[in-house]
Amino acid sequence: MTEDKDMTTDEDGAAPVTLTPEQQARLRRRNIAVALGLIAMVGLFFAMTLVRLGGNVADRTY
Amino acid sequence: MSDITYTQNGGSNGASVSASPRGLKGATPGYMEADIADYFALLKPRVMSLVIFTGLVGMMIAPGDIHPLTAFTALLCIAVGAGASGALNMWWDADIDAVMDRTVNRPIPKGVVSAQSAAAFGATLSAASVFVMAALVGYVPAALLAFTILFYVVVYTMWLKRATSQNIVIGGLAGALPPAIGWAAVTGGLALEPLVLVAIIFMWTPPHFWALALVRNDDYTRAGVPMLPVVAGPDATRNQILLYSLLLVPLGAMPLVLGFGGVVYAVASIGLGAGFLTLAVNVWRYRTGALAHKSAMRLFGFSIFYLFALFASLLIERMAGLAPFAPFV
Repeated sequence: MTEDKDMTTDEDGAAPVTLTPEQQARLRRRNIAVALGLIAMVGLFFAMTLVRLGGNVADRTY
Repeated sequence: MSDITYTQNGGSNGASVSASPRGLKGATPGYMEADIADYFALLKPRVMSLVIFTGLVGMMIAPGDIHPLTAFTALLCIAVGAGASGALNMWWDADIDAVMDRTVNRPIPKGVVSAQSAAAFGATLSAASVFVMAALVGYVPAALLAFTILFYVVVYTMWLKRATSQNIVIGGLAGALPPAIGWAAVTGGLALEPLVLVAIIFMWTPPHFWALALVRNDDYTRAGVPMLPVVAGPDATRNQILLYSLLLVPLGAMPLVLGFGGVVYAVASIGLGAGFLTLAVNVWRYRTGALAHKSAMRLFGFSIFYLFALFASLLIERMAGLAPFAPFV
């Protein structure tokens, strides 16, 4: 069934590669893992900024 | 995957074992099979766990306070940096891994992750771990982490491993540094205490690896890796194991002398040291047959427990708030 298969190209861009549903699922899982990793890093920077600023936020002068 | 072929022209020539379709039009490359677990395996999780643990101990024995989130970030960076080094090691050594029984099922020789993907994965995580450490923890721990990664990948993996039988002796420095990184994350500098812990791991590495190399001698010979048993023979290796063990055990007592190891550490270092020496003597005594094999595997297994328990005793003392023994200070 071509409808549920992803068509992409080989490394050299020559031969088309057909992904099975299982391969598509694994690719999706890998992509989600990368996205979650990036979100976690953003969250870590945000939390560490709060930790580093601490009470100094309240003491700032405008 | 049965339709995977390998081109093994790697190692010092540029490690390019790659999984590729066997000339079949429309065939699926093996690396499309890679799941999250395969990428996690590239990080050498068992090695990573010991590195995290020794880094944590370095952090715990350091004077001063560190915010729990900063400590978590530092340990995360140490873990990711160590894992990234492992991935880069697997990329470079894929040709060796493919011919060794112990490593043939790693993701690259298995054909589920391409060498290029592993290299990109390792390089990205290496850069990210150093950057995050520098931005959120400090420049000194970040510099030490960068040095550790570069030393492991460039000095050990790319140079020493295939060049000299002293590969794991010198290369062992990379695996020994995490306590110093942990200490630097708290204090922003270095001192004698973390360097003693680094020296303990440095001295522990040769008998640990050579015990395994004695058993896996055929593997290393087939792969052409000049491990000490391959180059100098099993008997010379047994002498070296005993020599390093004799140096390691008194070095393990140094935290007592310097006053940052207490009663728990005293009991642990003496008991564990006696056990380590006994097993090293057995390796030296039994040179043939099943007993020789058994002795080497026993020392290898115990060496992991030795390091873990020795560092755990320091951790327990700090967590329990026990005063250091400090008999000579």
